[in-house]
Amino acid sequence: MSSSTGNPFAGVGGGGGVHQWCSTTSVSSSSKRIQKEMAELNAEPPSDCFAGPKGDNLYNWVSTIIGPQGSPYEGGIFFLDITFPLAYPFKPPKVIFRTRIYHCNVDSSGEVNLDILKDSWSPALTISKVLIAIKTIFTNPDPYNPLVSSIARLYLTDRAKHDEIASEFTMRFAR
Amino acid sequence: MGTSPTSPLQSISEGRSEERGKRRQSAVADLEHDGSTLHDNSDAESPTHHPTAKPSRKECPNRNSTSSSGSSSTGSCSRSVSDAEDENDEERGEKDGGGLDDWEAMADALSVSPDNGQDHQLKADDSQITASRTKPVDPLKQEPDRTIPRAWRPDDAFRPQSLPNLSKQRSFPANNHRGILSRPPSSCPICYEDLDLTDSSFLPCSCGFHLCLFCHKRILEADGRCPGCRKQYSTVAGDEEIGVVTGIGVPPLSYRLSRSCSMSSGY
Repeated sequence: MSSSTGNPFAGVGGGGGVHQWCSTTSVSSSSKRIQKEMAELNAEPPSDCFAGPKGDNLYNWVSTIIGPQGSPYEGGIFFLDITFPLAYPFKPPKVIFRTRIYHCNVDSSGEVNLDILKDSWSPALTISKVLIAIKTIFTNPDPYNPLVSSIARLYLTDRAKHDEIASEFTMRFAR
Repeated sequence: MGTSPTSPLQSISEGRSEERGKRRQSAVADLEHDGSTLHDNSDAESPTHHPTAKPSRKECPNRNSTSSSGSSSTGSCSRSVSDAEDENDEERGEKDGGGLDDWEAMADALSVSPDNGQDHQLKADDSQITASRTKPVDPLKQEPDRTIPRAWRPDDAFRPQSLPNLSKQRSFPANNHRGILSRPPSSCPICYEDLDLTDSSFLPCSCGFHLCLFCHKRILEADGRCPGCRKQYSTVAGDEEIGVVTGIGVPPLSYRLSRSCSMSSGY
């Protein structure tokens, strides 16, 4: 919350009313929590993961995940945008793939179908755990809750073909 | 002071020392002799040493010899420390170096403890003295405090990275021992604010997940599920407690408590 560039709460500090007071408290609590998470991520980041604020705005992060070995995504570097809502951690963060990936749980716009980012979100979860979960779907896609059903079908019917295309995508877009 | 002052600065310092000397003599009558020797010493010193930008090395033995006439070895040794400091002060332009030295010497020549009070009185007299004086006095009497090793704080910038992390240690045994699970964390795992006494004794869910009342209220306003086990707060607590009571009658105290807590925090 140090600068006002691109800050969604830039106008909050100056004003009076009741509504603004409410949002100010939520901002301070969420920013403290996010700062703590940032410190913990820097202290002990999950393997092959990086995450941190994109610029001055504490609520917009960028993350990189290195494709796990043994998966068709091996050798790729995947960029993700993480956006914290005002109500974080009571609402889940938004995670969007910025790097194209051939995956049944990630659609072409980068949307991730991950239960803990939706209904199963708990305020006790952290970005670190979210990144670990995303790393897990690299190695273990969930074809039964797909976002791209054609990829899920191919994954279930012809795993070799699926892996070949996924690896090709990785070479083309994630290097 | 028989000598002619060589610089205005020097004259001031001599005036100070004279004044000090008088005060000193009135305060400690039985050490008059020692005070006068110190006086003589400072007089003899001023023309010879001070014009040539203060060779502190030479002064120290000089004064040690005077103090050795009346004081113990500890006094002289402490003086050599304070002298060096005072010379620096003088060099910077703080004008009370000479007088300060003499008073220092007297303080050391006397016993250590009762002089502290007099020191402070003098400090009140002259603010400039306090600035320079705290330095020479402190290393003598407060050095033990300073050198006492202190524990690193986890947020200390100079903390060696190899030192084990407290938070790690705290979380580590929590996995091993079941007993520790019931001990509340020091801060709310949701908002990271410190848990006060009410918060840490507040256990809204049977799974043992601790959180502060504010976060609990926020969660009740939304989906009302425990962040730890993701079960509904009220039903989990209610079912279990009623089951324990084996049926009818009043709900147990803990159940009512948890309900009243949730209600009071909810509104």
